[in-house]
Amino acid sequence: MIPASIRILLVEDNPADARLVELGLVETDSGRFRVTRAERLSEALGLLRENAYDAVLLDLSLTDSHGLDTVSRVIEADPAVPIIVLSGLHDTELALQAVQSGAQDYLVKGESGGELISRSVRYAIQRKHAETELRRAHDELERRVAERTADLLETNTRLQREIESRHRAEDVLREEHGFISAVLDTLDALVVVLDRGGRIVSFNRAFAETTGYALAEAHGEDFWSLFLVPEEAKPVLAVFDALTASGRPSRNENRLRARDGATRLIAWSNTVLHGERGEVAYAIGTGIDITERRQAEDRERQRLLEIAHVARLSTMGEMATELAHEINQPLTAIAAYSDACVRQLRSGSSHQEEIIEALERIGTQARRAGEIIRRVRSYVRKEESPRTRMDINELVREVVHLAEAEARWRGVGIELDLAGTLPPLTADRILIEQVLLNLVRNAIEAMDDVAPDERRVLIRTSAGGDAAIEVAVRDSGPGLAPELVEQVFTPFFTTKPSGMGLGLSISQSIVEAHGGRLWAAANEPCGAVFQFSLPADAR
Amino acid sequence: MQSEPTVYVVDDDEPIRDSLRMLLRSAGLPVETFASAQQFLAAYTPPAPGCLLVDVRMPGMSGLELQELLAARKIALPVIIITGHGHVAMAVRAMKAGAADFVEKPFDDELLLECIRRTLARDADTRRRQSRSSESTQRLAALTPREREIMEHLVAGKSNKAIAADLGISARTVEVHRARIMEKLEAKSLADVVRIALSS
Ligand SMILES: Nc1ncnc2c1ncn2[C@@H]1O[C@H](COP(=O)(O)OP(=O)(O)OP(=O)(O)O)[C@@H](O)[C@H]1O
Repeated sequence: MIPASIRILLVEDNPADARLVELGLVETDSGRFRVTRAERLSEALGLLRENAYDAVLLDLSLTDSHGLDTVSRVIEADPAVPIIVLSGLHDTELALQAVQSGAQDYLVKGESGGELISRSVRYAIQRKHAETELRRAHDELERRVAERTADLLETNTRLQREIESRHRAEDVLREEHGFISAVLDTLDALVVVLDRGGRIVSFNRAFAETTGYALAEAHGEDFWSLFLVPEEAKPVLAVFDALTASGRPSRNENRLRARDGATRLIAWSNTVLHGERGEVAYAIGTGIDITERRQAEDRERQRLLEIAHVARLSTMGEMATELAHEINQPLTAIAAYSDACVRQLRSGSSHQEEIIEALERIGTQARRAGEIIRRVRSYVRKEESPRTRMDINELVREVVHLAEAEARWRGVGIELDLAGTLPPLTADRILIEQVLLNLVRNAIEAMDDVAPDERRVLIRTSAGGDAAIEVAVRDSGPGLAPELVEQVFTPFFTTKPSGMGLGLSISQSIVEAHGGRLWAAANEPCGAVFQFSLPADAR
Repeated sequence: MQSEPTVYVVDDDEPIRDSLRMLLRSAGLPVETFASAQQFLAAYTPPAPGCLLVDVRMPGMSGLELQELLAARKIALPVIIITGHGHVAMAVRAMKAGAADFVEKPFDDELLLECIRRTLARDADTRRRQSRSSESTQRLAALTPREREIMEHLVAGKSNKAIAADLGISARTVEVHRARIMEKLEAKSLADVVRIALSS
């Protein structure tokens, strides 16, 4: 540990004292000690900064520094160098203090021979070295502890942060949950959640208000027995089963029974919620109360039906003369045939063949009269006919029969161009018949001023695009001025002296109530064409 | 066209034509039927006797129009109008326009046949009278203006003496004219003279 050559910095302003120390060191171990001398502290500090020394021999009373301050300034300049204080006889007290504040040892000037100085220097170096080592070890330990502490601290903060964020997430979740139910509660739509067994899991405010039940009392109850009217339980169960089996969203309408027994009609959109393993866990129904809307629609339809009925009666009134004539014809023939038969049989001049033929003709004419009455009666029937599958071509023929008398009377020929195959159509038969008859009669009436052999009406049925059925009624009348193409459909528009001007407006309402369209256009080369399209049944 | 009086039925409805044909034939009446006024006009040659039974309501030319056309062409065929039940207005119009009669559908066969027979009888009568009147006209044409003047006084019921005074001639001369008039008109009595003068 003791270097082979020991560099000493001797700080001493008294040249005699300095010389004594130098001599003492040389004499004990010549050549080993290499002594550099400084007279002032400032000089010493400069040397310490520039060179490495193994020990400093330090006089405490220098011209530019006194006392303990001198020691601390040296330590400051080089903390690693061992310091041995040189003190006079009278100030050993100060020397002891110097040792306490960082010097390794002290020597009393004049009393310390070379041997003593040399040993003191060696010890000082060794002590300082050990001290330094110890300090390093201590420092290392400290560093490790600090490191570890820092690690722990970091982990700790991380944990802290994690806990905080979890708290926050829970808050958010809680907030979100509250938020979602708050949002659901602001909806006018009814929301209800059922489990796979159809038991009530949850519902929102609108549902509660509509039914009069609080969630707390309905929770876990069977949806069907609590909220459905018995007749509808089965079909709704079928909807639920299909929904939970397939998971595919569906729609349905059913009535919801409230606590007070009142029912509301709800249009539902149904979806499912999947569980963790992807299985269908819940069914969610979102419903809108369409009771009022449906009632309004029903009233509207009822009104249309009533107006349409009145219009049919009035049409039959207008056609009464023709129809009476039409019925009177076969009756007249029947009476004449039967009178003739009686006469022939009475006079004994009868031919059996002739009688049989007359009787057959009587039968035919009776049926002819019956058909006319049947047509009129079915036309003026009031009650709503259920929408049924119908053959539009057959309906056209029926209408032509009704309008035939008027057409014949006015010298109008009716031609038919009926499509061979048409997509199936479901509609209210009488209403569509009414539209057709109205168009055909308008066409017939439009041709009063046309030369008799040019009065033609053509009725054509065809399959339109977009799965629709089209019926066009063309005439060879005066046609419509461009500004009338729309106007003729407004209620009470008429150019006829005794017309009501309701026919086309009612017809348009009827067609639109069937999801179709009725419009007018110019016919080629002359006249007008009124046509309507009706959506065919979805296949 | 045969000269036997015939019932001409014009109606656009086939069962009505056919049943009427059977009924009228059962009653022993000759019948011919037509689906329209035009068909009838094309087939009928005046002055074939009989009567026309025509529906007032027909597409094309109606019964009333046919009646007017016949009148305009001076075809003296009596017309019986067929109307629907309760169409009194139509019937009145037809009668004013000179229809012989009207019948309502459905027919009462007794009434119909009676109506037809009456009309046929009247037609025959008219034709007889018509042919008579044309004879009278021929005979009257043979009279001189003086003889015609004296005949008119005779028809007015004046005596020979009054006529002579009126015309400023002698009663003897009136006597001679009167004998010539009776001879020319082939009249056996004054009553005959009056009838011939009025039937022209
Ligand atoms: N085929 C057509 N050709 C020319 N104009 C027509 C035709 N169809 C209807 N119109 C015109 O449209 C008007 C309205 O017809 P709409 O059927 O609504 O009533 P209207 O026949 O006049 O009276 P009502 O309701 O009593 O039957 C008619 O008065 C006529 O001017």
